[in-house]
Amino acid sequence: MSAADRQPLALRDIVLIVVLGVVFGFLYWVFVQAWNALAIAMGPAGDLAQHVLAGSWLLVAPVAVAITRRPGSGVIAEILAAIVEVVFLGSPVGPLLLISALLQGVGSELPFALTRYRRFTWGTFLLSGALGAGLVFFWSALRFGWFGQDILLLRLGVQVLSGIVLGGLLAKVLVDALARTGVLDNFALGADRRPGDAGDRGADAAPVRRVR
Amino acid sequence: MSAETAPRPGRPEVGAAPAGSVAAEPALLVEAPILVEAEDLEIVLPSGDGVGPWTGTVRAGEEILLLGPSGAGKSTLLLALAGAVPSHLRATVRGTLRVAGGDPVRGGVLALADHIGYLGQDPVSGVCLPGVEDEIALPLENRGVAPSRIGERIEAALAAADAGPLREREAHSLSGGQLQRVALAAATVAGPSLLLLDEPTSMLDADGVAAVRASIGQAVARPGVASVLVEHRLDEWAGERGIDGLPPRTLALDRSGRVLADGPTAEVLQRHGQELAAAGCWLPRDVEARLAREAGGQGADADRAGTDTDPAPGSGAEVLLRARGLALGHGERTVLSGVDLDLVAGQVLAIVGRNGAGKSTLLGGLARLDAPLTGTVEGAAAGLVFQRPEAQFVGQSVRSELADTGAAPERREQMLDELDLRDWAEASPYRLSGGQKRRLALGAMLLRERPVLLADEPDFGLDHAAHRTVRDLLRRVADEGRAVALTTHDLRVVAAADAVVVITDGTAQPPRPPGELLADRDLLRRAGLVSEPAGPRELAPAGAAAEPSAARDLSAAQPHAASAAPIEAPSDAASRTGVGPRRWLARANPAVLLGVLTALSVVCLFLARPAPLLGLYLALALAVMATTRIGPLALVRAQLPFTIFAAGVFCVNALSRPGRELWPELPVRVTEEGVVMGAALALRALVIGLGALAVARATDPRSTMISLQQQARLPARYAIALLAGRRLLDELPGRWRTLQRAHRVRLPLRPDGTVPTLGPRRLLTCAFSLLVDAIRSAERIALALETRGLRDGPRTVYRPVGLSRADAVVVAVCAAVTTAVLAVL
Repeated sequence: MSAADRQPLALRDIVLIVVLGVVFGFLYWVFVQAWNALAIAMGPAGDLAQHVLAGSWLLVAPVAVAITRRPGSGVIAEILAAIVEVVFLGSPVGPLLLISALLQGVGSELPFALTRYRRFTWGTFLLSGALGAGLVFFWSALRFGWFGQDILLLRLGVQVLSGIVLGGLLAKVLVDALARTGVLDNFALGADRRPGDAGDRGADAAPVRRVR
Repeated sequence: MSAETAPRPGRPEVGAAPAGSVAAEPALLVEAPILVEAEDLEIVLPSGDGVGPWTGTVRAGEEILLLGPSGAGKSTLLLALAGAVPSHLRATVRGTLRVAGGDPVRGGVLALADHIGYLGQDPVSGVCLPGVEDEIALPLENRGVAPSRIGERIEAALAAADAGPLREREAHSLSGGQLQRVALAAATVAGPSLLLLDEPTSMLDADGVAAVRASIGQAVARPGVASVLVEHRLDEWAGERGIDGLPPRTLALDRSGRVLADGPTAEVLQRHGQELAAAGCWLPRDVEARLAREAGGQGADADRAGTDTDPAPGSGAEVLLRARGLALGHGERTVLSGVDLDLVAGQVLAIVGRNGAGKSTLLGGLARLDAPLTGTVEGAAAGLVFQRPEAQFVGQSVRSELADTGAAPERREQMLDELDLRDWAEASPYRLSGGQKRRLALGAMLLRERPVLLADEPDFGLDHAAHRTVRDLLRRVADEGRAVALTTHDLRVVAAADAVVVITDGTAQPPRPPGELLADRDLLRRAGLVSEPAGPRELAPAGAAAEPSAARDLSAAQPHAASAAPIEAPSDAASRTGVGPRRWLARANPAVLLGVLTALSVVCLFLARPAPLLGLYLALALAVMATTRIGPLALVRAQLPFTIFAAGVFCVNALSRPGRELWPELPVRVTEEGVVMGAALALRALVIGLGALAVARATDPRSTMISLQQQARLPARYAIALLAGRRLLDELPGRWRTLQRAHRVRLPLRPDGTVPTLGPRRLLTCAFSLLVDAIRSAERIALALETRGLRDGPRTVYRPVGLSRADAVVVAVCAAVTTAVLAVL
């Protein structure tokens, strides 16, 4: 695996990551309509309500890492998703979103990198969500002037919790569900899981030809 | 199996094939160089399915038909020839394979990209980029062709594929047949020597098949170009010429993927027709007829069972669903009107018509998914099975898919056997084969015990065996006393129905016996069941409006799919035809604009007082109005979302910062520090948001990506992949709505017979289906881009986005105004 590790992302990994960014961007737009109405109804507290969903911005990174299992894939996933947001969806955050994306990506990918992209357990995903949310928090606080507010710690708590649930654990639920469908069989994740029968291991062993 | 020495009948002349190539043929063939050489080539997928071993060659100029039932590994073999195994399709490869002197197994797709043209079955993901012209330019750019020469080659490639008038079009406005021709032009523009065609017409109606068939005929008739074709619909492919219209050589595979025969097509069909038919393979109609005669008339006549034996439509049987004066449409557009239709117990009704004629719309109306514009639908509850069964799956496993219907457990277990899916009970429904998925979707709908069953193209893309199973299942459903209505493009399905309704000219004609339609050549043509003899229809200016977008099931019912996209489709035309005074800012380079916006954003981050930010905001607003021609009201409206956000920021700060209280008598604490800081932060958000708005209005995705590639060193693979993502984004709203409709018909009906809307849990299931579908698209897009030679190395850019004086003006003015504002305020 070591030789493959040094290669840049394959085109199919890049396209997959872009597509994840596009679909998540689209779905976020679909689902957040309702949430935004709620946030507006909550008035000043709506700002906090947004934090509850903050973790969902992290989702693409752990999903990309778990599927492609390549160094840098989480960071690249966040950056490509940010480009999709800024260039295609006209995000009012502007290019500064790229800096947020970079920090989110680094935070989210770090736990996987520490396991050398070999362990994809609940714990790794949890840590990924927590770090992803935690690292970018300080940059967000600078951008939005949260320092000096009474509710700084409350914000941090809500965001990290959201990161753990929506940006970490949900990613594992999603990746496992996708793997079951077989659409990931031809990505790195599929090499580690034998398609069809979950218990069967050892993808490199030649399969037995089936004759009908 | 000595293909290379097989005697070969003269090449059929197709379309405007150069006459010279035919005359030169026989002599040329002996000498023709070997393009593909396989020795004991065997490919085994992780599932255990495999193809081969095959030993043989393909010589330059040869045309080969790859024949076999589903699961025989035809696509796998094509992918291997393209270099996509194992890099795109994980599999074990044994034996040796050489293509154009290279090793596709080790080298991958890129190593062969110069020699291979690949065309798959899905038109939507065959065209990867938003603009047709860019799509055709891509393979040339990747090969470093000088930009000055690219234009004429695009012209030639599009003309050869009968797609000349489509050059300026955007991909998401094209029909399936148009998309396939554009994809063909992209696959052939760089002059490949081996064309790999994987069911290129399987998703098209008869006119689409004829047009794509003619274009492919021209492409493979070029001297020296070899082709390997996988095709189910041999009759449509061959046209009037029968077996002579098929490629002269056939490589036939059995159910397990073993090579059954390799030789002249007529001979292979003569000798092995029986075996192929038994394996479930489609064969040309005359071959099937001959086999039927030889078999003494048994078996094969299932195709026409319905026609003679059944009673004439409407002869006293019970009417289960009655539509009267029905008009259906979307928004302002009326698709069908004046529809009177009875669905009768015990009958199978076929509904035929061109793509976009309104077949799916009619089914949606009958299922009461969509309220009619006028008229009524009355009677029993109807179930509807969508064209793509995947759109309807909700379960983690086949068993839970059936459990979701709410049917009794014994009934579900019984259905598992009826569908022959017991071995797959615990597998994910997405893992099933095409035929199995169709059966499962039908079975899940049948368990709902609705008296009427509607099915949108249930025969779509199935091999003969699967086709027969589905047809028998529907017949049995009718025999049990339900009413069945299905849409189809297949004459055999029409023949087997009890009655057929033709949709033309915006209405449904009264049901008639199938025999009557089959005898009426003109009506068959108007129903899109046989092709128009006339020239390409796209030349008509109305082509765009008349033909629906390609993803038929996905957006047929929503022609205005893209209108709900998060942002309006960018007007590529504006950036291409040179921008007039209307939007001066659009002359600026997108990378420069993004750079300026970044700098401005950073400056804002260091400002904590409202005054300079307000100054910047006002200056920016004036500049945006002047350079993007947006009026004050429109500007305010466009800023609404982030104005609300900014107001929230202000409130939170005013209330949550410690400091001097402004109004101590209020129950809440509002501090001076909070108000000042809140105002500054709110203005910061407004300035950056306004800048982002201006950049979005002045740029389009294409020029932004090219410019990021050229001026910001974004690697080509990333820039092009992002543009492909932009194209997919156009498709998502339509797919999303189809998924919602497909899931809605699974819900229990309301008491008044209408279909309820989806709750949050079902919406999440839809979202998951969308993701699965998109990942499949991603794989096809990646393969298409790679066969077109996309890599990060040196390449040219056909229509570069350069720097101009406007960029200097933008930078200078922004810097000067910002400095002035900061100095004064």
